[in-house]
Amino acid sequence: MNMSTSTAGSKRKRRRGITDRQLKYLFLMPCILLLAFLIMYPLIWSAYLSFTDYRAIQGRFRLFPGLVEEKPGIKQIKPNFVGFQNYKRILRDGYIWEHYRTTGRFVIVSVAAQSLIGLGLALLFNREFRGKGIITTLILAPMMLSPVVVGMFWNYMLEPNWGVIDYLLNAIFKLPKIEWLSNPNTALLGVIIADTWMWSPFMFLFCLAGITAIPKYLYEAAEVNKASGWFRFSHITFPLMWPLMLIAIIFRTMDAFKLFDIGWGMTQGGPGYSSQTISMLLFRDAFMSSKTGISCAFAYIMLIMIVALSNIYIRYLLRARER
Amino acid sequence: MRNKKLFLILAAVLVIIVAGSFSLVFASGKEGKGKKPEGPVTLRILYFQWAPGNAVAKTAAGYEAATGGKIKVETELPGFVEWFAKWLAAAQAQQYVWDIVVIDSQWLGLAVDGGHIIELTDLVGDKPFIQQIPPTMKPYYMGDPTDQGKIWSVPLEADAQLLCYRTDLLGDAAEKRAFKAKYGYDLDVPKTWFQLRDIAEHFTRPNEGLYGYACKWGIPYDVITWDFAEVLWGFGGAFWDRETKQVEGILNSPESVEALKFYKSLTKYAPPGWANFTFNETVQVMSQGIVSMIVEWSSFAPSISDPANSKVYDRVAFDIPPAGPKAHFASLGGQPMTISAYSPYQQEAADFIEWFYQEEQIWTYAENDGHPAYLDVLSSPRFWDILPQNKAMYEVLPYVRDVWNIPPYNELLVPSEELLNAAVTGDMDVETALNRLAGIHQRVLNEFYGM
Repeated sequence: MNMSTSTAGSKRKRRRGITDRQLKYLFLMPCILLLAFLIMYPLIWSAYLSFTDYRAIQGRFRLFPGLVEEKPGIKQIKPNFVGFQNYKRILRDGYIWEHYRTTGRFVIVSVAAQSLIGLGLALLFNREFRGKGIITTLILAPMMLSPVVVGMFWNYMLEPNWGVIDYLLNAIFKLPKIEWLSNPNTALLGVIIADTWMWSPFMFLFCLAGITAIPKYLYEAAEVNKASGWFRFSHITFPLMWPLMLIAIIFRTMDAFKLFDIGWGMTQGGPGYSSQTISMLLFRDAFMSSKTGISCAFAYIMLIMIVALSNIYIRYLLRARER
Repeated sequence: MRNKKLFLILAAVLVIIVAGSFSLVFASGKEGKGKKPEGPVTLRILYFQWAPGNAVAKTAAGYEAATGGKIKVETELPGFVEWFAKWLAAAQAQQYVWDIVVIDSQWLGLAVDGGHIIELTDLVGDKPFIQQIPPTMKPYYMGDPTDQGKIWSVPLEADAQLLCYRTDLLGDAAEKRAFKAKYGYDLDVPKTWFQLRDIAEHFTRPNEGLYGYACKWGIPYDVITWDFAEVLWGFGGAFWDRETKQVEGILNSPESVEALKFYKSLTKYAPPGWANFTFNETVQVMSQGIVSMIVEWSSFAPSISDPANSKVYDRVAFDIPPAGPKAHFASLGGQPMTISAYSPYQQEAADFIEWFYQEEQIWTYAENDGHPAYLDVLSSPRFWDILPQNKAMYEVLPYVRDVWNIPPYNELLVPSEELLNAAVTGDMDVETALNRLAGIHQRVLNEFYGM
């Protein structure tokens, strides 16, 4: 009896051909292979290059020469292994730390401005009024644009000779021409203004979602208890929407830390170094100076910093949720 | 057992498919030198979108008929910034994209050192057109960065910085009287940098929307480095000693510091936004009648005398840039033609270059606003009549000088652009900027040349 049951079972198994578990892995495999190739391979390869003095413009470097048939005329080079020299050089270079300070200033001011504007707009839009839908859509429009286009666009608007911003400031407030992007003291501010214009809607969206999710009965209870507007904001609205806003702040901080496109389109980091962030410096070293090895080391330092920064936020977010 | 087998077979098939896809990616562009694709030949040229680029495209269009339809030429003309980025990306990937790449003269060392272009000594060395190349341009346009007398490229566009000035302002009788009363000498085309500064000061009238002088003080590409170079050399300074590879003590010498201070002083007479000026902005402020003088590359200047683009097209003239207190130089620009090391049509490309340098073609190029590095054309009144700057372009030949065309060019250029811009905008003082730049350049050269 037992024998026949087990034979029948194995026949069923055979008929099915493949177990659910195997099928699961089979479906996952292309994705895993693709991710392994597209993410893990460049990560491992760039980590290796960060310990060498490789310069991509000087020739082709194959870890296993002869494995792939090379075209005639290809110059092969073998970079030197330099240990932690690239990392040491970056960490000891005061010039690079100036760019970190610029990046820090940019992150703090732009994320703070975007958070405040986004929160303010969300509070204003947390009520019903005519045309709310269309106005909300218009407010969200800047973040749908390409950052390079936004950079170019603000470049023209802040231009002192024919830009609309200086024209309006002069017409309304009789202010003299401000050379926004050609003055070392105002160039970073110009980039911050453009970035804030583009990304405040993102904060607005998250804040509005957070406010909308707050149960109405809390406000009703506060009203019954004659709570002031400030009390309602500080004890109900802000604490309950804060975790969602914090997620938006994490995204924006990570993104602002990597600022490149808007800033590059507007100032290319100038005048001097006044608006040059670390991403711009990395671009210059990697693609303009072709310092591949040192750029890989620099990119790893940046990656570690962003991961560390994000971890601090995430821990805070988890604590906020527990509360 | 069978299930396991089936699973392993399926997994193996998937691995092969994915690996196969990637190998296809790697194998792309496999048709390299020596493996000529079947069918009619199309030579591909890379240059960028500007008057000489269009002139190359127009001239090259005649090659198909000249070869009886056997060889067609396609000219790719991206924007200026994309041009450099495209070439750099293709060079780093070592892929065949173009047969002839018109590179900027200063990329030559980079291109030779990386093996991205082929040596042309045997292909064109004995051709008659080589004798037509102006001697002062040869070392920079054909130059061998390893100084072994080899030919790596053939000059296409001859370009140098020129002074462009408003004839109606500098020639006005009332302005001449006022200028003489204030400065004690006659208002005329400036022959020295100090005269240029006086004239710039005289014409700086922001209330009238007029400024004295503009040039390329911005960071992008190489603009401020080459712009400052002729002032630096004029004051007796230098970027480096080419023989000894010494930078410290030269780039930050008292002469160099004085030159940068002078160059910075010119910004007082510039229109708003000057700190970001590149080629386009400088041409634009001149064309709009906002400034009395600019120093600009000859090849970027055709639009200033074009009625469709310029308000002052009939009131401008050109001359060689002013002299410094110790020497007289003009920065050399221009672009030579190179043959890609990855091209399967290297002989065909060399034949095209030889055809391009025949008199008929070289005149077609010149008449479409190109400036060929060809003495018989440059010295001809027929050429001078094509564009108002062409005579000055010929006259500037004895004064031209280039900065670097050595392999670590990019590593020298990037900090140079940033620090010179930082000095003129006041983001850093002149001495600090030059000391820092000298230190960076010395380190780059020491590392590259193993000193």
